[in-house]
Amino acid sequence: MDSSEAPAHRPVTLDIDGADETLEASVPPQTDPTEESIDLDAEAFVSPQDDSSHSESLVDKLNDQMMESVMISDSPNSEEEDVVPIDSLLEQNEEEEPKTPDDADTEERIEDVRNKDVSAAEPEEASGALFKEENEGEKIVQVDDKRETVAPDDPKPEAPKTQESALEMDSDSTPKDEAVPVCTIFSQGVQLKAQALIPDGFQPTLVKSPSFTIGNTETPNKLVPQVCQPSPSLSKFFTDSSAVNPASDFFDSFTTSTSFVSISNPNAESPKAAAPPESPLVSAPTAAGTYFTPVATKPQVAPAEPMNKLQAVFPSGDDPFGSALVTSDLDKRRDAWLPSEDTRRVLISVATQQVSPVQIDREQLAMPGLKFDNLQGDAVKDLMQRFLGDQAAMKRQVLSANSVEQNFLGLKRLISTKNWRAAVDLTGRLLTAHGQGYGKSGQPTNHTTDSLQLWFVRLALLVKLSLFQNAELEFEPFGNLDHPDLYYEYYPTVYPGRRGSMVPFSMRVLHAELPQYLQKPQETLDRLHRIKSVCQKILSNLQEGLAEDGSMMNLTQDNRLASIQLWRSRLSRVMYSMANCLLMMKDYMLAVETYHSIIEYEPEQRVQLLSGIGRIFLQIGDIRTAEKYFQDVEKGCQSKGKTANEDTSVLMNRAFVYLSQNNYADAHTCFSSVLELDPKNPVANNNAAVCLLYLGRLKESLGQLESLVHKDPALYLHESVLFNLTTMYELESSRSTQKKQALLEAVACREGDSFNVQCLKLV
Amino acid sequence: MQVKGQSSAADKMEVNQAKQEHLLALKVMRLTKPTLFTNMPVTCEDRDLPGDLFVRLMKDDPSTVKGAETLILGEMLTLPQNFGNIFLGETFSSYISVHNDSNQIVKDILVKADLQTSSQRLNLSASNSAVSELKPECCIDDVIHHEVKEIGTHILVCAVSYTTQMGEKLYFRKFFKFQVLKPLDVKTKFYNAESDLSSVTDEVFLEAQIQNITTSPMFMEKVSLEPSMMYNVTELNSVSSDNESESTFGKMSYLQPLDTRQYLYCLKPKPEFAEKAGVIKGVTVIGKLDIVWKTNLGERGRLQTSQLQRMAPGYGDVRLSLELIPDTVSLEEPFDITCKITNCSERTMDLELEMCNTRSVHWCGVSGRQLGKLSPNASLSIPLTLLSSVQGLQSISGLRLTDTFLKRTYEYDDIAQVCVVCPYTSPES
Repeated sequence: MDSSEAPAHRPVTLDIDGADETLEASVPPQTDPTEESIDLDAEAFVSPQDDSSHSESLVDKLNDQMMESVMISDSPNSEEEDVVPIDSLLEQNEEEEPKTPDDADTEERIEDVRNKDVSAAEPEEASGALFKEENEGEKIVQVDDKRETVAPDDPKPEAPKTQESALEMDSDSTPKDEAVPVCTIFSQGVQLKAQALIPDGFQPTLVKSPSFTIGNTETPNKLVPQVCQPSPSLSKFFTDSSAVNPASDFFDSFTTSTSFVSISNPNAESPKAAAPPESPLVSAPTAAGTYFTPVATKPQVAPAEPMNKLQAVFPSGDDPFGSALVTSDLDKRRDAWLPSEDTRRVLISVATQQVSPVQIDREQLAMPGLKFDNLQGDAVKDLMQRFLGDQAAMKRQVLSANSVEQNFLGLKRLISTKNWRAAVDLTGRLLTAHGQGYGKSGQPTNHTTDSLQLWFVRLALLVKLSLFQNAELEFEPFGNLDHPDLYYEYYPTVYPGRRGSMVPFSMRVLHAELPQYLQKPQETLDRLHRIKSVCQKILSNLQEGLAEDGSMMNLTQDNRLASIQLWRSRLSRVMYSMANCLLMMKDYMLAVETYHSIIEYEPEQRVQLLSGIGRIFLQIGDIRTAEKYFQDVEKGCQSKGKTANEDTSVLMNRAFVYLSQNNYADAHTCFSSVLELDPKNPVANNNAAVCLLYLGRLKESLGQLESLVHKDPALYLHESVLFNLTTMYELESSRSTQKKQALLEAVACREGDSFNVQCLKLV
Repeated sequence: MQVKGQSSAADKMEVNQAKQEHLLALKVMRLTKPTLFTNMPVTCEDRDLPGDLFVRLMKDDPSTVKGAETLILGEMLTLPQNFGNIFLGETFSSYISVHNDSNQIVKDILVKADLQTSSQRLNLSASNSAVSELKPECCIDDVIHHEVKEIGTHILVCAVSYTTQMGEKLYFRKFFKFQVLKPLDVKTKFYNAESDLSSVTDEVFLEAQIQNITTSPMFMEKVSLEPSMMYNVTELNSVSSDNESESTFGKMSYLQPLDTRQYLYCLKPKPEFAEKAGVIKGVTVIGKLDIVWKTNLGERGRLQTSQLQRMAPGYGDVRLSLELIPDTVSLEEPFDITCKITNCSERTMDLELEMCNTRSVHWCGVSGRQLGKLSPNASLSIPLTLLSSVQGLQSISGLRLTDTFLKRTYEYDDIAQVCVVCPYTSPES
């Protein structure tokens, strides 16, 4: 596999002691004699754009999605005869450089670039001289100094001598007993945090558009001003319906949009709608509120006693109404959750009417409210305005929160048309109508199934839009999603007989996943483990013949099996999240283990999971292990008798192996044969084009991608493909901007307001 | 060379723009390995508000893995997003594209790519012949590769010369600068086989600590010691049982950033070079480490250390080694050891042995006894008796040899260690 590159790999000699003879000995004879005189330029040691550390890995990930510009760039047409400090690595796009019209400005530009460098902790280069005269003694001293501070465990010349074979220690004359100093380029740990948001590499100098680099930090910042502005119209319109608003809600069921009361409905403000709405979903009997006879609810339950006592209280056998109050099996299965001890105590006391909800300490309640309003905006349109003019921008038609029905149906329309920003706005309006609008955070409120579903959708969309800080802000009042008022038992009058958590399971997963995007992966893992243990407890309850929450309740066999299936799938979803998080943390071994354990739960995803694990190993560079997993995939496929789909995954895996062996030609062949089986496969199409570029066939690659985007925009107007395409435009010609604008137009006709315009690299 | 002054061909040039508008544009992009696109799954269940919407959105997204949409690591390749870091021993690859931006045919195009390091200038172009003509909107492509062998600043110098339709010869160049960083930190440490009971072996152990000082995980494909001609090497980095050899690093085949790994090698001098007493002195060349690693999607790097050198243990004029010593002895009970004294010098010695007690070791017998004359390369064995008054692992020290000819004293401390145990049971029982 290495044969193709073999000639290129002359071993690099890392001189340890600088004795000239060894130098010569290690230099392959055909090389230039000067070759090995390694520059020990002191600055080289200090310089590196150390961008530190594993902790940044998540940011890397995020930035991966942000997509930076790649071009190495140059200072335009420098005519200096000899090597000069031209370090503008910034791609110069002549048309776009109004500030630097002539050579006289070159110097200034270089300064600019340098300033950027500084921010990226690149201390050197200030002198501008690239090639320092070597001053051996001095340098060695510097290196030594550094080492003194960095490696305090400096080996004393004692019996077993520590000889530090610095990789290229230069010709200092006394290699003998003295420990040879080691140059530790990266040891300045201080730089670590400063760079937290910068991905690998020389990137600060390279980034073409400033908005790119700071993309992910910037977005939330931009929103800050908006955060302080309540939407005037809505917040005025809906007066405070907070404190004593009984648990009624005017839009209780989303499944039947007809029953939805639009927000202009005066009911929204009326606190008197005490009776639960008649919704088909909540099978609440009309007798709500009367079924608790004082007799049945004598507070004989000690606070610490397990939940099933509570259950005993609830649909208790001697209560004639009890049996009538059983919520649908589906709801029970779905809503089941195990509250914490404290929460359980509160719920029991509410159920037993020891405490009325009014008396419960506010601190134990979830009191959410919008933290910002109207994030609005359509970046595609803004870009069009900027590059194509107002007229073109006028043509851009997307749905906004105003242009759809003000209910769940409208919300769904916005989501399915990928207008997620507008959808977030709409959730804001609907929540405002529910009394959880802007500024309502911290005020007691009543939760309903629907209000929590709205919150879930809103927060999920914020995450999808990568507005993680915003999501975190609004998640905050929910705590760990275990407040008593997030359980149905807290509202015995509104949801008589209904038990479990109002918080959708998906919202718990979302809540757990969020911190990893904010550089707190450990928090994510903690939360996921908590969810996982509840899932496992519920599963074991079910297997022991109990109900989900551990109560003694007879479930029909069908019911039990369905419930087990549901909870197993939830468990596997949580495991997926864990594995994904571990992967982002670059804890590859644990990630692989976790992915592998998912196969047990999702046997039908075996091929995908094994292939995915193989790709992880390729990412690490461990090609041999990757091949083992790929072979497992192939064996699995053979034993099943190949189907087309499995065949494509086998071919795809082979292509990735070739790619990892630097064999782009065979990789291209493999991707092409996937296309013979599945001509519309967007991944194979894109990947084949990428291979062409590495083979030096830019025009073909470009032609292929371009035609795909035009032929089948639904599949190929994807940020990864567009990013590749715009990168190639930049490489191909100086007129990339026009071509990108053409892409912008294509995007404008199809994509919603959630489109990530950064991949077009226009700004 | 003075491109600046030539403005004749650029009739479309703007008035106050002094810079030459060239007909050709040169673009350079570093080709690091592509990356796999990762997506961000947000899911919900059927009965949640969005219904199957989120699921459908994820299924329609071409970057997700079909059938396992919640797997974040997709299959879509994306081109490198920034220059990245380049490390010593890696291969620098770059795409060089010269594009005809004009609407006229350009002739005799010569593209040259040189890499300037602090010490040399290398030509990296695949071909050095001129392309006879280039039509509008066409380009000349070249992918260059170079294994970097120097640390520090590198400058890629791309020069383009061509002839316009008017017959004018034009030329421009561009410079691309990058830094080559050090990927690994290697420290080595030699251990001489502890007790030279049989002085024929003279084994040397080499411990190499290799630290990943890059910012990405690194798969160590090969770390081997290539011994010099005097030694045979045994790698001690795997444990074999039942014909299966398992790496001492377990399943962890890679090094995270800043992780360090220790490799251990045992070196034995070949019989013909066996380290006879006093024969090998001073610095000997042990060999060099050859390290091959891989990172993202098989990006490969390779480094060798220079020859590792080891000071043969200095025996001085007189070498004292042990031929016999128990490993465990009882507290306060005398035990015997046998010392071997070798004259490594070129002259005859007249030796006197002195035994000094230490805090724990007490010698039995007469100190200051004459051992007699010892000619060069000759040796003699002497049995000695001592006891220890302290429990635990005790170091045997305190032997002094004095050459009465030269009145020179040689000190021998820490000759060996014994474990001293208490033979009595505890008083209670």
